Amino acid sequence: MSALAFFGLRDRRLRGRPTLYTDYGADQALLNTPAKRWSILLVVLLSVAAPWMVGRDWVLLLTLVCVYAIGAIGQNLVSGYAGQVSLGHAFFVGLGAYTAAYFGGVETASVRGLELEMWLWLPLAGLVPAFVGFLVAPLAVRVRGQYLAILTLGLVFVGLHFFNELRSFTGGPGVGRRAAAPIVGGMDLSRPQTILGVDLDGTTLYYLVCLGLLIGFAIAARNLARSKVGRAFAAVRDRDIAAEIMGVPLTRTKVLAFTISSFYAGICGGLLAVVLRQVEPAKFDLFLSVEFLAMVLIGGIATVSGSIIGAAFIVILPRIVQDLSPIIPGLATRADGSDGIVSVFQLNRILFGVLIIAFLVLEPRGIYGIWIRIRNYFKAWPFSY
Amino acid sequence: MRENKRWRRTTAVACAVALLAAACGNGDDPGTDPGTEPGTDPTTPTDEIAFDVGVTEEPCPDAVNDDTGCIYLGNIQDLTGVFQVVGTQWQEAQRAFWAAVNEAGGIGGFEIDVDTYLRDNAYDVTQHATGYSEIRDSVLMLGASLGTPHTEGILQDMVDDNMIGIPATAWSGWDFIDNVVAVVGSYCMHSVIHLDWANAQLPVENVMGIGFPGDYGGDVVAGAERWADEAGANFLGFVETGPTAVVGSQDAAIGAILNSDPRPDVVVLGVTPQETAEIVGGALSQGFQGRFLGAIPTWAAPLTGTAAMPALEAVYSHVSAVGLWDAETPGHQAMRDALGGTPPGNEFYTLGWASGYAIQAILEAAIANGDLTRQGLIDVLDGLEMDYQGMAPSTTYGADINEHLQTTMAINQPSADAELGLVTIDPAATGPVAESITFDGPCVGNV
Amino acid sequence: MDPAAIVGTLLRGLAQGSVYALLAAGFVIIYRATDVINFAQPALMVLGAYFTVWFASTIGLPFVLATVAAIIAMALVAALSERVALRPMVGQPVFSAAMVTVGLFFALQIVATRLFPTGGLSMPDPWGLDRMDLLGASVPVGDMWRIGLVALAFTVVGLFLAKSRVGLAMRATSLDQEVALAQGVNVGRMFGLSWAIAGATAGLAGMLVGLGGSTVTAETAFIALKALPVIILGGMDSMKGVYLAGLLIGIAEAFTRINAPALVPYVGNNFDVVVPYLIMVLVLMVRPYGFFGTAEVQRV
Repeated sequence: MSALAFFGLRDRRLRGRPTLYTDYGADQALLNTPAKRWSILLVVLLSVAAPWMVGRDWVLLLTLVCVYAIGAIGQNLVSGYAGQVSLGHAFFVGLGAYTAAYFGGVETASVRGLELEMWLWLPLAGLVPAFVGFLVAPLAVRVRGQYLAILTLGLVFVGLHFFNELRSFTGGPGVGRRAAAPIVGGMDLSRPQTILGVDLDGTTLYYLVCLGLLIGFAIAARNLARSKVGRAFAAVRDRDIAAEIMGVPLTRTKVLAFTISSFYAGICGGLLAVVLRQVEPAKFDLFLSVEFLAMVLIGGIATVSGSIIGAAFIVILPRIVQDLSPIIPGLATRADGSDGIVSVFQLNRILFGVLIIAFLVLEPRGIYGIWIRIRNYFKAWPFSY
Repeated sequence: MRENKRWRRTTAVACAVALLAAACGNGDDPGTDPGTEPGTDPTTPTDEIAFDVGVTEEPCPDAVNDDTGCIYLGNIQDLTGVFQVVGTQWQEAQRAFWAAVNEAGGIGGFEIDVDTYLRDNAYDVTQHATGYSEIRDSVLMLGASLGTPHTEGILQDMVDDNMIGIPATAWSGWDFIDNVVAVVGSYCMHSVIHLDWANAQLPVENVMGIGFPGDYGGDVVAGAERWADEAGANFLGFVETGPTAVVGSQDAAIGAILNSDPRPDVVVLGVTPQETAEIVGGALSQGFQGRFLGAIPTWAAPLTGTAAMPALEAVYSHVSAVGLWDAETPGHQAMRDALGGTPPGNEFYTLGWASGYAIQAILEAAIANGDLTRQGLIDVLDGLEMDYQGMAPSTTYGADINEHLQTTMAINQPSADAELGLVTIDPAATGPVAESITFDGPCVGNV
Repeated sequence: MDPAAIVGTLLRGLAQGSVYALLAAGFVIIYRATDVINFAQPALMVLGAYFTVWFASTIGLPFVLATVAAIIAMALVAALSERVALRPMVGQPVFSAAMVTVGLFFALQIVATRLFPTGGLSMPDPWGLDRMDLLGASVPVGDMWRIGLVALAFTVVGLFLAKSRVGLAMRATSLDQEVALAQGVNVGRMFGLSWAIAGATAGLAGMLVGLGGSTVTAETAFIALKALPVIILGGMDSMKGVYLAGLLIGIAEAFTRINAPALVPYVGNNFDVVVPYLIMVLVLMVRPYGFFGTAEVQRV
């Protein structure tokens, strides 16, 4: 223990040596380098200012990024941190969406609804899936690897069956029901409001709500990851038998991972439903699960920031491809592509698949891995190693 | 190995830079946005018409005549998803329709563009919402919005934007939603007319419905149930099925027909062509002797080549709100002229073309009023005469659906000689229930 | 149910189960060699159906030759996909490789969408809706061909993997890539070969799925997802396991489909869709690696 530590905060770091930690607390701090502190501050400020810098369509995309990122963090907690690859995420997202719609939605002739406010329905949208996750997790704990992936995939199919059939809650297939309104204190957060003298349109206001929630849930996840629980997750992921021998309770850790992950998924579902306004069962299919897994794999396994980057990639990529693809010559002009090789829309979908392949082939650690490489390059500059 | 690594690193940096650039770039450049520039040039003939969003003084991209202004219609279609057979054909018809209108001089000094603000929803509600948010500040109205929950999801935004839109689905709920202008009769009404027609041939005592639950099959079967109630027939129930790719086979539906007591005289279908052939072929080869009544989406030309074709020819009939593509009406003739002799991909092309006449009627009325704003479009809707050039009965649009129900539709049956596999046997079928029925809400779902 | 109905439903289930088993075989062959679940298999299957129709109707080959040609074409398509998209993933985490197959699925599925004409294609098979009497029940002739051809395919592929030198090399590769490499096995070629065999099974499966007198569209691809509970139930690396599991699930589905609406109406419509997954969950509770799957040896 260095004597410097006695001198309190001011002298805990040596000037010019940002990565020299002199006590455990500083090493484990959430933002343990000045660069991290500054960059996070900058990103948060930019995110808050974004609605005034970009068009409404981009604000909606950014809202979706925030909402999907919360789900992706949940996916990363169970699959990235704890190593339990789950394809059942879409089920919990759907369960969250319908829980929110039931508690917060309006009762009609064919669906039930309690019209509670958002501060009640949002926590419930997380807690109900968390509880269901807690109940089904013991089944999932018995299997590993890709067996687990397919087992959890079964949840999506069974879940879709329930969503299709429990029509007084879900509205049923092809029709669905209205989502819950995000009302807090009588104020609808997805409609134009004046807050503290600032006029906000509904899209911007709801974006700021989702951004705030994302920041909160991201910090919570980061905190969890550096706690005893997070270390247990990592131990189970890296070698579960070894973890068990070291005294990490295997079943309890895995169940906890599924439960927390389901909570995040449910919150994501409740928030997503507000964006989509109409909740239809078909949304919560295998494809949605695959999207969440892709976000984690593309963003970066076992990183919170990677989950957010991955969500941004999957949400924004189709828009970027769409904006860029008209410059590609020789595309068919007909909507079905019958007067050429493919239409621009078909090309968009093909490129979406190809870019996922390209990223994983070039950088299996995900976009976060690219960042690490760029950072290391400049850290070591001018030396290449 | 070194080479490879360096190349990888370069690619990685390039990717990161590209991502950053794309994410930070402002996608909404007001300088190039044609929708927000109000008309200021006093020299063109359009100056006595008020307009703002979605209409420009400048000509359309690829305009026929550079002296005209441009009206931008938004289209959100399924071009790559499970209903791309509907979306691509509907959109192609729209393009051909407006190309013909533009070729003939446009409307009131404007040409119409349906390409610039075309978005693909891939039949996904999220992509529908993002697609709408991209085009909402740039278009005068939605020329087509495909998907029922999808369109319902953007409804609040449409109301906020004062936007009207044409749904590319025939859910009966659209008749009760203000900003959505349904161009033809609902699936529910399709079944009513079809059963009236069948009842005149058979009589029909026992009716069964087989379909996908929800806005399409659910609506089709709900119409059959309404008809049975009104006509005093026996409704044997709704057998809910799914696409064969999801449920594996249609044995459950076929079993429900064969095990029903009494057996149905007619079975109303609300499925896709694949299930139609499987159900009709399967039921007949196991001894069923009733008839099958299919809605528009139950047919596709390739069914003529299947082993089920003899069965389909014997017992299947098809109802369409708009006459088949080869019908002899001025509207159909104009469509065939635009096609240049080749048949369309399917009958959704015909529907898409017919929807063009409805949009044209709205735009022309608004121009005649001198108010080509979104509010101007809403103002002309009530009491608007919609002339489909014979493709469908002309209607006077209004808030109450019961005053402009489409009570006649075409009944068709399979024929291997016809290019899309169907020939019309009654171009204007109707019946007592169709003429007396009234609706006070959607047949299925809520509004 | 009367005896004839039971026999009829049983045969129907066997026929459908055979197709599931064949689809599952495609997953198993690739999993054994590369430890990756190939999510592009549905797209390969529907392309197989497309090629069968194309060779038969457009080129004009007799149906048998068209089927064989489609099988060969799909083997080439699959081997090419592996070379382009999957080979660079050797040595990378299996879930990243699995995600690459998802990307491949998106791309191939749009290719299929583009190839299929509006409204789909009809399989020009010689059996159509023909039915025959067997054990007192009337069954579709096409179903008997499904059962027979899948049994034949499993025999051929099974013998190839078990008896031939190449099959031995493939098994060596699946056991330990590095040791196989040290023994002179060209591991990359084995990966390509296993994809080619999986592609071939997908080609045949595409033809079999198209039987029954209806049409095939690009969306028909999703029926291949029915093979996922089958591979878990049988064991992801066991050909024998997935064959039996496929038949079991086919039969369970067929009986649920016919009887659930009357016997247990409260479970909802189309309950047969979830039955395979329920069976899968129940079996995994008892045997975490399916009926015949190899249990993972766990070491610290």
